[in-house]
Amino acid sequence: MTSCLQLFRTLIPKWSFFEAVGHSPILYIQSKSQGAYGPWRQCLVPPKRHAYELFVNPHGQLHFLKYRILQSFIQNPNSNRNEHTTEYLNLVGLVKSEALHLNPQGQELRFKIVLQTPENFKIKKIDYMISKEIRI
Amino acid sequence: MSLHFIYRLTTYILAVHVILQAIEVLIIQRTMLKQDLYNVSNYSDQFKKCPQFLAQLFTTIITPHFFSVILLTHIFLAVALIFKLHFLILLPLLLTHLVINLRFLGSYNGGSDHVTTMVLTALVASSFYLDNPYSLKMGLYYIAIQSTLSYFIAGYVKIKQKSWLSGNALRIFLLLEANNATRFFKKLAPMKPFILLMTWGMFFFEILFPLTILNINILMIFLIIGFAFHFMNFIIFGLNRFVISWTMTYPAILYLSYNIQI
Repeated sequence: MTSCLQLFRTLIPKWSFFEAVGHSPILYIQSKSQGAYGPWRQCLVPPKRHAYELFVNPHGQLHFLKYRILQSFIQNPNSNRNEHTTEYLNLVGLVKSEALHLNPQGQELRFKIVLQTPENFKIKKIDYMISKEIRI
Repeated sequence: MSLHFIYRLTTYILAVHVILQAIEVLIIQRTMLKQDLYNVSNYSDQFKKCPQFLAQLFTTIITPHFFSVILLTHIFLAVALIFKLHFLILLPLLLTHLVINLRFLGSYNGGSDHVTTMVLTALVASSFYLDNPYSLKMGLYYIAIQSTLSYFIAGYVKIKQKSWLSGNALRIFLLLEANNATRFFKKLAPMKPFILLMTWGMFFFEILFPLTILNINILMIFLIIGFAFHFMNFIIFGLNRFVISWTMTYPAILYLSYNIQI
């Protein structure tokens, strides 16, 4: 039931924004066409910003929403192991659409998540996971 | 400072904010369907934690067809709010707002959703006794106190962290790819004096904000700084929704301050 109430969490005011600056995931996709995998390519590149987007910013918001799928996947420790979790299924939907965008002829894909982590005043990139092959 | 004017002004800004938000979601929804993002069939794992009848209800109301109806109803209610202030407009507006958040598993845009929900709940509760000035006052005071707390708590949780005190957190925040800071500010990030000035300027603003309510002239200056702060967040990180969300609470803060001084 607690998790169900989570779906209405905005009803409880929460103002502790950006308390800690932690891991930040980056998504890479590699798609297979004509029997061979291509190079790893970074996805979720943020769109260019414009002044008029102060009022309505669908491109920016869509980017945030896509990025949130990736963040939710990282935040739920089960999503990596259980392919039936909402986080995993949402991520698969995302990587498939991104893969098709990058390579419309792709038949299979793999995705890789790299974490940007602050360490000793520097930002390090650490490999988090590489997925198994996924049919597009 | 007229109570009714401030109350109505808050509802006007809320209505415009809600309309803009819903238009954004309407546009996004088309792309989401095309790209198979946030597919409702993926949600069964989340909804299974809810009682069965609720899970069934949630699944139905966020199906693409039904959700479009919800969005259009949301816009219609917001337009109606511009013309008429009524509990029976505000209550369904809150409900449709919650459904929109439900569609995105609880929150569409984080902090901005929290502010919108807070303002909506205050207006719903206070508009139940629309003829009672005390009720309207309590609604505005609640909005003002929560908004003031939002600045204070955001500052307080940061000032406790070593990484924020040293300016390192802001530097990293600007450099992380996910935060999509503009190239100009990414270049400024390694400059220690700039980062310390920004960090401590933010602490000064956020922590002292509640005190400014005691003096309306200082408060006015802080509200201008507040608007500039949210506007800069839009310029640097593209957080457009925060600008109107927090601005919508400013009339209530001014009203609270005005009444404290009298």
